[in-house]
Amino acid sequence: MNVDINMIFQIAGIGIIISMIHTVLKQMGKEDIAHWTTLIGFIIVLFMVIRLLDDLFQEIKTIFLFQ
Amino acid sequence: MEIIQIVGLGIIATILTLVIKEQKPLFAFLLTVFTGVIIFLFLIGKISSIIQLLEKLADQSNIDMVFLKTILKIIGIAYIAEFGSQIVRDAGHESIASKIELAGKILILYMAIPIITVIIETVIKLLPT
Amino acid sequence: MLQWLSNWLREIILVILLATFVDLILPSNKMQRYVKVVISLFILMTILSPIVSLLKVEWNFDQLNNQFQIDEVSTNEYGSMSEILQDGEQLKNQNEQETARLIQTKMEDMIYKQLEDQMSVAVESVSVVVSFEENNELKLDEIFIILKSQNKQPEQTMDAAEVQPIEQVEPVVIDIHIEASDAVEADAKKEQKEITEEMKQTETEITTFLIGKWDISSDQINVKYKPTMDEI
Repeated sequence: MNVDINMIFQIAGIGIIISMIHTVLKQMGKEDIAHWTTLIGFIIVLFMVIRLLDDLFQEIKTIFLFQ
Repeated sequence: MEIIQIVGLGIIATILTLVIKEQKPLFAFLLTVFTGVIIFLFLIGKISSIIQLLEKLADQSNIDMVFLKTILKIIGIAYIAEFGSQIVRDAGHESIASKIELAGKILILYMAIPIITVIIETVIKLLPT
Repeated sequence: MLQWLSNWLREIILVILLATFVDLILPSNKMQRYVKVVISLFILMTILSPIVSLLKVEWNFDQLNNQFQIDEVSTNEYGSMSEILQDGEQLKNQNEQETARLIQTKMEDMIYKQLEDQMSVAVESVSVVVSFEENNELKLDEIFIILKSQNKQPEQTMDAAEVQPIEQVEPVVIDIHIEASDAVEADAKKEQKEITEEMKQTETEITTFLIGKWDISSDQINVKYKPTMDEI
């Protein structure tokens, strides 16, 4: 449970940091790099979410006798 | 007091989502999904114990295990479809959410085909030909 | 029965409990309706399970019934009840005739032997007529005995004589006995004049002997002499 909650904060932190970087880069006039950073951050978070989702689906499969 | 943990988790996740939603709605969505999955994972242990109880019940009542499996699958389909459709609806895609629900309903009815067949056969046999 | 009923009730109660739990577990949304329908079908199945098993048994009965009907159809090929009864009557008659014939031949043999052994007369042939009475009892109708002429007995006569009596014995039906008796009587009329005292005595001896042995009246016994070749 603790790890999971930490991951929630991680995701939120990544989101905030990415948005800050995005803003800073936008201010610096490098919008393309800003977009790339956003995309990379999104992919990282997506990986975390998808791994957890996979866990969930496996659990459901085993519990609800989907085999 | 797991409910406090769950509620606290939910509230924190909501606040964080609201914070990020201003800058990055994408991350807000992922955060929602993540929270949902975590709560679900937390609940799934409890659900499994309830299902074990159901299995015990079915075992005692000499019910065909095929039917129990069917019912469990139906519950699983309902859960997953519900989960998916709600997340998609949160993301603001009502049409996809309703498609997921439709898929869930149809799959539930598909699972019920054996039972329905048996009942229909019984009724037909009951009627004088 | 009570055991079975309690099992059934317990099953229903447990299934309903299970259904309630499933209902509670379900996430609340539109899908609940569908799941409820399926679970109610399941409860219906459980309640109907005795009927289902009954129907299965009845299905077997149907099969059996079909087989029975097929059997009936195949027996119908033999015809209706009355025809079957007719057949039975025919078979019974045949059986009686067979028995009568068997008894006739047996009796003929016996009388033949008795006469030969005990009376020391030359017997040409013996024919017995038996008939069945209403109550299936055998009745001895008549005994025909044809004695050989005591004079000369050439070989040819024997051959010719042997053929004739077989024709007389073989037939089973009573009409034939009438014919035979007619023939014998026709012969007898011709013969009667020539019957000697000795012959008559033998006849009475045979008749009394047979009356003693077989318990019949004298008019049922016909003793004749075989006409010799030259007489014919």
